[in-house]
Amino acid sequence: MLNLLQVFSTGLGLAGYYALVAVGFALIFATLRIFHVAHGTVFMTAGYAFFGLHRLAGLHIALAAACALAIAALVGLLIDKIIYGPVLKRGGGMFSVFIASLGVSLIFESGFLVWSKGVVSVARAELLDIFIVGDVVLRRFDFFILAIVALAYGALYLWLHRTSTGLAIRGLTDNSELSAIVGVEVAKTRNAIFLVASSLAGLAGVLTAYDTGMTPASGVQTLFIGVVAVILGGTRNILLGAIVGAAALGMLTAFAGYFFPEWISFSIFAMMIILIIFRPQGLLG
Amino acid sequence: MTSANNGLRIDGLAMNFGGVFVFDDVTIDIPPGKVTACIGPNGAGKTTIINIVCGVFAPRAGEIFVDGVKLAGVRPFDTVRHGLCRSFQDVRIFPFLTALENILVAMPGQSGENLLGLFTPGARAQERANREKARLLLQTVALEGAAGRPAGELPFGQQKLVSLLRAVATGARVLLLDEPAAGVEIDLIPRVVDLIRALAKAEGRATFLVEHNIDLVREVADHVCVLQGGRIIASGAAEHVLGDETVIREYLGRVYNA
Repeated sequence: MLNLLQVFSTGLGLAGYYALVAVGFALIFATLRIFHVAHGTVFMTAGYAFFGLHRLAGLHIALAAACALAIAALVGLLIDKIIYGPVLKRGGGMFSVFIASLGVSLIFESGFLVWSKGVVSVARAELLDIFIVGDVVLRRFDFFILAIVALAYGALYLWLHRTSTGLAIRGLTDNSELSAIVGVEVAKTRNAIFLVASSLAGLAGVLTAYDTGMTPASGVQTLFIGVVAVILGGTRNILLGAIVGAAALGMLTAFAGYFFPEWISFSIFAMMIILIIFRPQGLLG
Repeated sequence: MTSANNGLRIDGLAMNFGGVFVFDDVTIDIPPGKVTACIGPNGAGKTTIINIVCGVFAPRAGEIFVDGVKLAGVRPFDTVRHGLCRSFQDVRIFPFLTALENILVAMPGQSGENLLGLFTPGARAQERANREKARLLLQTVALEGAAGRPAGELPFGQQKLVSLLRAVATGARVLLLDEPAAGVEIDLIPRVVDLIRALAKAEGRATFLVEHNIDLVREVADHVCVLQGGRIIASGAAEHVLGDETVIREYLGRVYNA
């Protein structure tokens, strides 16, 4: 029984990463109908940038993290500007954008592979900082992640529900064609969506590089987990969907990892397929 | 080429759908501060005029001017940028936004563009002012009670009114209203009449109204043009056109005999 609590706490930590990646992916997919495979690339870029700036260039850790976030936001925005925008402008549909996005993510992946040849990690001794409640070992860093997720979601909630950009974004989710007809500045809103979603992926990337480290395959792996979280949660209510999906997936990963670790990926994607068959609109949809 | 007229000017418009003739040589002036109604039987091409103005269809011939400037390259999604906004015969709505948000989303120059705006008093005040304005708009059609409800849950007629208010909220100088009263509960129609009048008279907007409800046209329109058989058969001051013998025989008579 106590072991289950231990697994539960591990699951919460994982859910935090998934939630940060998933919400950005959901934001872009629900509003712009772009299947942003390269969202994982943005996540990975932040991790590598953080490693490069802090470990190689010797920048202060906080400054390196801030720069890595800015780089992630910029890379996300540029992917949209340089690749998706022109593809859509020339009449490309959702599938063309998907293929282009996949291409971008493979290019980055090979780039990072050439550069790093393996795991890069910023991990430091603070990660070993634990405390014990009963028989359960808790990492302080997991609480730090959850606090950051709570802050990020709080800020996102305010942004979506209290600002006009947020209203425009919810309008796009609801009826994108009508949004343009009534004068919503779609291009400006689109930039905001990519900047914010990419910063959140960047945040997850920096935290992951600090925690477990980053490999050139991390981007795609994390993206798929984000995608599954969105499929689980649906896109009707972006924040709630992403958090519920991420929590369910975090728990599944932790429990599968505890009971039959070889079957983690199997469990995740089996769950996704079962859900798509029985509830194609997502758990909450 | 420019035209000296203010408001919207539709000049010599001609339209075909492939081999199907729709209309020829349609010229209508829609001055600011006035309501110009277009009536005519189903299929005469009234909505097509709105669709051409908004860039949905390209006409075979003819030009459109807004405040004397020739309208070029308008696409349906950027009409508001050109000072135009339309409403639709059917309901187009943001079903999951509240009625109030449906109107707010269309308001130009809103505050709170970014998160920081939330914490600056000026931006907050602007935001409140916009909400107040949206609430007042809902009041004009007795819908203030529905402000917080998702628009998709409202009855058809109320959704129609919300989408009309949304067109109004864009602040567009030229409004193109496609049967705003169709499907609206009968006791709310006087409110629609008041609203349309106020838009033109008090706010000086150029309003083009396509409508089948002749009573409503009689009440709000300053000018009326009748589109039938592919041409404008009558046009001028509302009382003259609606009393015109040809119009009564060709169009109104038919409506009443139907």
